[in-house]
Amino acid sequence: MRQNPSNRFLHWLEIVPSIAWILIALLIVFCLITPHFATLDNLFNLIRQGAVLTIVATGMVVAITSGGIDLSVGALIGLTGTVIGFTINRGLSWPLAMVVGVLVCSLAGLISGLIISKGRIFPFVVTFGMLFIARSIGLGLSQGGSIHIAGQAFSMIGSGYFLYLPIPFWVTLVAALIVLFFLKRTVFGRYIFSIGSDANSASWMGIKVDLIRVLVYVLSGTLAGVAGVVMASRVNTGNALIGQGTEFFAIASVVIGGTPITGGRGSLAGAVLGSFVITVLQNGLTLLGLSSQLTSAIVGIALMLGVIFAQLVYRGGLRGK
Amino acid sequence: MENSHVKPSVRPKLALARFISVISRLAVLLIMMVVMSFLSHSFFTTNNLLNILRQAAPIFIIGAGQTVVILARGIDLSMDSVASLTGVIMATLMVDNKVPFYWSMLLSLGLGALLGLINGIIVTKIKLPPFVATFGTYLLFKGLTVLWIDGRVISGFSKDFTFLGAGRVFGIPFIIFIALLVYLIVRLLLRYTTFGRKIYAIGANPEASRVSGIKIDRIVIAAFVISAMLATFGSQLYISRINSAKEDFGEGFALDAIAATLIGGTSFDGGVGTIEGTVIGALIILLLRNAMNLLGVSGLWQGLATGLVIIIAVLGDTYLKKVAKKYEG
Amino acid sequence: MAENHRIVDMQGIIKNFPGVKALDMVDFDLSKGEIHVLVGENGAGKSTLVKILAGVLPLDHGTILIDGTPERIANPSRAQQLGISIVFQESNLSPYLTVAQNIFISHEPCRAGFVVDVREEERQAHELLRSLSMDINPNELVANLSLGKQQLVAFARALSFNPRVIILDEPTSSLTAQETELMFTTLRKLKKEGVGIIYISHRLEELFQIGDRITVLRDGKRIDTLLTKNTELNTIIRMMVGRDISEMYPKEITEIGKEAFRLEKVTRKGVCKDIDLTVRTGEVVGLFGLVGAGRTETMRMAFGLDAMESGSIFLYGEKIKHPSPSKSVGLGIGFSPEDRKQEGLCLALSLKENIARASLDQLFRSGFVSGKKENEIAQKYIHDLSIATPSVDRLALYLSGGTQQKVVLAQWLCAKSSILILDEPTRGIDVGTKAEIYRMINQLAQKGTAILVISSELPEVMGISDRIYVMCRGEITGMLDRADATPEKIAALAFGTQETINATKS
Repeated sequence: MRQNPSNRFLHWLEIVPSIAWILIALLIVFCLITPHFATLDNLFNLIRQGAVLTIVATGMVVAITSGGIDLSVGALIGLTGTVIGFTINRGLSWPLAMVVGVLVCSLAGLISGLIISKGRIFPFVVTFGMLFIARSIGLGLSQGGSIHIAGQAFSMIGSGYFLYLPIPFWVTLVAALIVLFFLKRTVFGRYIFSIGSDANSASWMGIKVDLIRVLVYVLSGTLAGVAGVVMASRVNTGNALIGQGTEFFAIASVVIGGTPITGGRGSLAGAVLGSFVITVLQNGLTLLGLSSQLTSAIVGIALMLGVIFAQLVYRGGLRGK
Repeated sequence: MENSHVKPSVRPKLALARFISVISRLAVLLIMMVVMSFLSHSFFTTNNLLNILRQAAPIFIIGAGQTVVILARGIDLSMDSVASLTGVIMATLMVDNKVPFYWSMLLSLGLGALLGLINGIIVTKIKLPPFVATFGTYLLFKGLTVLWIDGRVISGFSKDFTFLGAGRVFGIPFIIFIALLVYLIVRLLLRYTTFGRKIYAIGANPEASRVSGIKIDRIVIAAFVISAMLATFGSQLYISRINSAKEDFGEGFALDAIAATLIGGTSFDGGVGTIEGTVIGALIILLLRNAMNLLGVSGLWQGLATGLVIIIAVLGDTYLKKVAKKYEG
Repeated sequence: MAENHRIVDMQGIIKNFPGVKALDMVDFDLSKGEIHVLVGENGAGKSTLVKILAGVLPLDHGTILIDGTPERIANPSRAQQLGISIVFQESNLSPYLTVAQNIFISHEPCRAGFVVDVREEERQAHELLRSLSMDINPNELVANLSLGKQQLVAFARALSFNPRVIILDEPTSSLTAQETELMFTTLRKLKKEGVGIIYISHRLEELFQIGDRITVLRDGKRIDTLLTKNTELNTIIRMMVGRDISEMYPKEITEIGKEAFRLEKVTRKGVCKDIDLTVRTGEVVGLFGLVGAGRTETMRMAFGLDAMESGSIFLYGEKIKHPSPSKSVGLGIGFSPEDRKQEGLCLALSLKENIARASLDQLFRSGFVSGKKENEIAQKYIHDLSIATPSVDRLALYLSGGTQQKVVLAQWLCAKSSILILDEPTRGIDVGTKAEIYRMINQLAQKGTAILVISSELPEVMGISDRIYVMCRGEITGMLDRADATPEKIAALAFGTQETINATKS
């Protein structure tokens, strides 16, 4: 049967390849099926489109690994844009507006985290409520419409280049690296795994569970804010409903990437690759001329298959007992 | 004799716990109504109150389905597209194919049952977590809806049909009676049948239920079928009221249903909750909307109110539980 | 021992749980360089006492002095600060972190405050494991280790804090003989270094090997504290049990009939091998063994909860094809799980609903539940089993352990089970209720029910069984009739050394 890997690298290798192979297979298939896919233009397009989901997925994998979930991220993406638009229109400079936008999301994460840990309420329920709240605040700020965000400088984030690569790529990379560092190199990362497996055991080991939980949701919220900045910059608009549904795709990315929805273990690389798979799939199907809803349907089937597959692969192996 | 030191009158009973859960919410609802009647003259008019009931009815009906599923420790995120798919199919049957409305409704309910069955099978046999499974089917059914209706908007339904959603009996919107009927049936199902007992047992402790010999898979599948059928029925009434069907109506059904259920006191991990709570939950949501309308607050802030109420409701329940535990000593 | 050598002094500790007095004015002290053994039956209070010392549970009344100073140990961190380390009975490690990571949780070698120095951590872990002669790779995921190795890692973790007091709760239950020896060597070394060790174990023979003093707890009270060298096993056992066995276990003559329930060659790799076991109508069969022997797993398979690889289950001589819980229940077999809270009861539901849960279809054939009938049935069993509750409607969550167990039993009585599998039915229950449950088991046997009781309490299994099967490491090592059974024979079979088995069988 399966060999027990004797160190973490081999263990990592066990999880990651399955989703990597799927990604590679998809890339090859689309390259072959449609000529428009394998162009530099499309590649950059892919990166810009996928950045938002990938950034959110890095935050989501932390939340899910800790045994929780964050349903508010989609609404926070929209909120960021509206806050930026709102504040810019009132005279704030765009860099500051950006920071305010992200901080608002961090604050939302803080509130969610506090209610979850101190109030002892299911993360699903709290972030579900926060979804309504954040979306509504966004709608209120934007009067239900879209706020145009003028400014060449700001839109550079979404459409500009740095070292020949789209800026969203760099943002995503930095975000992923920060989360990676957080998970692997800091004590918090360990504690998150521990809490996700068994929060009681974790507290008996001396881990401050409440504090860690709050940090998790602050992180998730902040990353949603960063994603929101990228999104707003790409479309030069602040719209509260943009990003609706992102949370579910992020969760799907995390799950097909090998993280069980119950938490306790998680793979950042898997989540990132999972998000790539979804983005590539959507991009490829659109290039083939399929309508957006049909694309949705196929992505839906693909996701279900992906999750089933993930269950078989990741549950089958890695059982010590 | 153990426990003799704890006063008999305050020892926690299930019926009492459920009663308190419902009563406290009813109290909140009544307080809200009283406050509203002071804040706005148009609030306490028959017209307005009927309006609230009329709009709360479909939310309740769909919410009832979600309540059954959540009680069994599941969740149904596919309601939006179950509603739209069955809705557009029914619409084309009625308008394009001139099938009599009752057959169309029946067939579409049958389709809803099938969609629920699919959800149930994916959750029980393929063992996907309900959250993931129903999100997948949500996307799947959404795609099928688009394939079927292809951007059309269907309208022009028969008078008999539109009566269901838009008609009145003795001045009271008919849909309220329908909601009442649904309430009675679901209450009967949950409180007075073995099926209902099993749903609560599975939600409270799936492993213990399994040990007791309860066929979990069967019950869970049934719960998803019920949920989908109620989503279907809700969408039918909705179409009937607005007299049109298109591919994206149904948006927000699942969220509202979950909100009504949670506000109503049903615990997210199942086993605890009442259908009465969901009724009140739907009413509270509508009351908030109505209040905002009357007070001139933009409808955009509805979400804020709903979200706050969800969190407050759940925090309140946690607090009540703590108090109950104190009495236990 | 001289007063100034005492590291830990617990005085007058009282701890209550709903309905049960877990600790009743218990005194306990520990000196430097001493191994102080804590023994007692299940539910005697041992784990509770040490959890209080380790900051995991709050005490209700009493004083704890550390080095003569009164301390309030409010949480595990405080205990760690005071130099108290604990190794829990249930594995407390995070399965998906490595050995090194688990060892250093909450005291990682860090740079800049919260950045872990991974290299240093690995090195220190390696050093520690090497110094303890543990052949474990620090980079291995805990999930991939055997239970025995996991326990060793937990032990290493406790030691990594350089504690002055180490608490070990059933540390050798999953260890091989070799690993146990390793641990004992380390403990002796720690003794020399002046570390105080509190050692809880059911393995009575071990305690004489390693302990300096023995404290016996029974029903939450401290019975006595003795120097190991001045006492012997029988004395300890008598203190643990503390009452005339025949008084406690009302065994009456029952007419034993034909074969009711039989396991034949039940096997599952890593769990059990070729289990042959029979229970006859009117018979009470005990299944004894140490923790980890595989008894629960085997009976779960017999009931249909888990799948077996090979073997058959027979009911009144007929094979049950594809056993499943619903099938078993339908055939009149009942199962009371080891963990009654997690697997036996729906805590969020009421007493009456829990009682009816296994018989819903039987009682309400039309599918409609009559509240009146539900109440009547619950009242009947409350009366029959003397269940202490003011109302049938009471939430199961708030019932005491003993009452909860009665409710689980009531569930199967209501289902009219003719075969009962009871897994540790008296665990964590007070004496009075225990006696009631034994009486009930007796009455049921007299009415013809075939009962199998899994038990880890020697006196209990000897007191209620007509026959006793003993399992060790997944195999049945022997079967004794009531008349032939002695504690020594049973214990020998349970420990499973070949000589003792042979000696017993001869």
